[in-house]
Amino acid sequence: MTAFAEGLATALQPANLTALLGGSLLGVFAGAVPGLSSTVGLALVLPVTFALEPTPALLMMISIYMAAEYGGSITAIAIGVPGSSPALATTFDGYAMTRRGEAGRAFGISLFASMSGGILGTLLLVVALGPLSRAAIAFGPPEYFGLGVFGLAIVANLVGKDPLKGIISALIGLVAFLVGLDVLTGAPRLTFGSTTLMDGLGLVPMLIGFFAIAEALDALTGRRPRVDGTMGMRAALPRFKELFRLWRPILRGSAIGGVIGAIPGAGATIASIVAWNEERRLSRTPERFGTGEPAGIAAPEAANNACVGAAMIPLLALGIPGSASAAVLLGGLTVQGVAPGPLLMTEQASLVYALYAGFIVAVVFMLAVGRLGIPLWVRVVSLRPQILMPLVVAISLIGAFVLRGNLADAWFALFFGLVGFLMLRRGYPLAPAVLGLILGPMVETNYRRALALSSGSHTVFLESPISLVLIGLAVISFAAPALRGRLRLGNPDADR
Amino acid sequence: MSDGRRRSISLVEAGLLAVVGAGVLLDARGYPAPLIEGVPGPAFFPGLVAALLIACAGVLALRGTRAPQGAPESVRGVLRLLGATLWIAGFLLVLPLIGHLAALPPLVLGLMWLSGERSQWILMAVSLAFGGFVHLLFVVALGVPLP
Repeated sequence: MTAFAEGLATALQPANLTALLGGSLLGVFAGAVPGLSSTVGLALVLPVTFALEPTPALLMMISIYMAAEYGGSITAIAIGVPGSSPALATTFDGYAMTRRGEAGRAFGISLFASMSGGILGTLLLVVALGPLSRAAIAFGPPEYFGLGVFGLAIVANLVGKDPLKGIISALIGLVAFLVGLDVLTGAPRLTFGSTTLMDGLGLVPMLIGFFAIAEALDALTGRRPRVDGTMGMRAALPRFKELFRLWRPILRGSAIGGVIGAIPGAGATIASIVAWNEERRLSRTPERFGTGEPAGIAAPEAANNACVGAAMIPLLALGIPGSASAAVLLGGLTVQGVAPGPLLMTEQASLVYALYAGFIVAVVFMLAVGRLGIPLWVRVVSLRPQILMPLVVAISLIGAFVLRGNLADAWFALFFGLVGFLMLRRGYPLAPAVLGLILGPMVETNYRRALALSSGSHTVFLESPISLVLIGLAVISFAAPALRGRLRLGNPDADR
Repeated sequence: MSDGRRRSISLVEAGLLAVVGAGVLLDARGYPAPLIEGVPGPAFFPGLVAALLIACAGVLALRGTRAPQGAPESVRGVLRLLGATLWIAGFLLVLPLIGHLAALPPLVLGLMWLSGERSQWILMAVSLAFGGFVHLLFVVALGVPLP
């Protein structure tokens, strides 16, 4: 409790509060603008965090992540276009309420449910992170290899409509990781004699290129909807009595979001759709879902915000980013010299407790920014793409340069932007490529280290129970899409 | 899009991936031998990735038109993409020579124009304001040196 109080005191310092507030503003904006998302918002803010201390930098990023999940519901409710994919389920009942003149009520329900889901997801993070980290301290090269393989198997859940293209995307990420010096021998690989390439292509230019520049190029070539921000906001907000009557859908949505969010690769979109579907299934009046049922907003919004805290569990405890947004957060942690993994709780406990407290404060800011700013946000999101997207490209290029003060990184970001654009247009998901770049070093290095320790015997991977379980989970995870295909389910998160 | 065109695009995609895979394989031939006998050296993993990439390219080529396809490109979209790419590359080339304050407004202005904005007032105001904003944020507020 003392540690949490210290974390709260850290989060409440002026610089950290400013970072959290700034993150909330940017997060709601990124979530609300169709075409942007929490991932793009996080990628855009990466360059700003380089100049900050680790704590405010990371607090700003988690605040963006949290607020963006709520922000998506603004356009979902206002115009029936989800600002970001996790708000898809909110459009079903949210927009129906707007059409019958109850937009204010829908916004109030969404905000209250998002806040509740955010808090419950954070509680899950607090409860689960410590035990998982302690278990992971026993990891050696075979276990890390198993973990890396499990992480790569997540690709199976991110592949979208076409598993082959998901696997090719992951292989492209693995090729990108190979550029540079071999960690164990120092041998240059795929550098073609260039000293610039010896440092590698880098995670941050790839993140900025894939998630900011590629998206902007996609919009520049003319396929993004423009939001009409004319929706009236004078409709009455819901009363507290009504909000508290929704505690069951909120609790169920949070539980679904907490469980699905903690599974790498599953994601907030699938959690919110499952939550909406479960609520309809359990309802005595399922026929009212889709026509403006308050529980149809409360459950998915609680679910997608609960996913935020839950997604941090594998990221912080194991260093495994389970979603594109978590991958960008991992980039932010790496840039700040924070190594997520089993030792994080022991080596940087104060930072972890500040993050716990930061999540709670971020929820409060999300509530304030959301409640006070709804009319403003609806107008801001009507900013034309032909103005917004060039700014995204420009700030991305500057951001890529700022990391190391090296113009080559801006060129790399442009290169990845073009590759990402072409991949998007040809139906290749981007997240597997990012996972390939992140997990490639973990898999290769620990595979070779484990074999060196066992004099080349592969039984080392089967002798460790943890490694065995992780490799087994990887096999199951890889087979899951085929099983899901038989059950005719898909993963809407996989589009990116 | 016709089946023939879809098949051609799939073949081009597969060919590109196979070329990348072959390039990685060729490069890996020059890597040093393993330090310990029986333990993979620096060429093992690149070889594995390249082989998988070539195999996937083969499947992609064989699958042809049965694969889910992306949306077709319009000529206008392709021209915009080319224009935007060249304009951004030009910006990166001149940035170290003329500095961010002089280079950023033309970058933003050009991209806005390419994406269809035609109001001269908006073009000028947004591009100049953005250049000033970046300078204030990075150089003045955060103390980060920009070219």
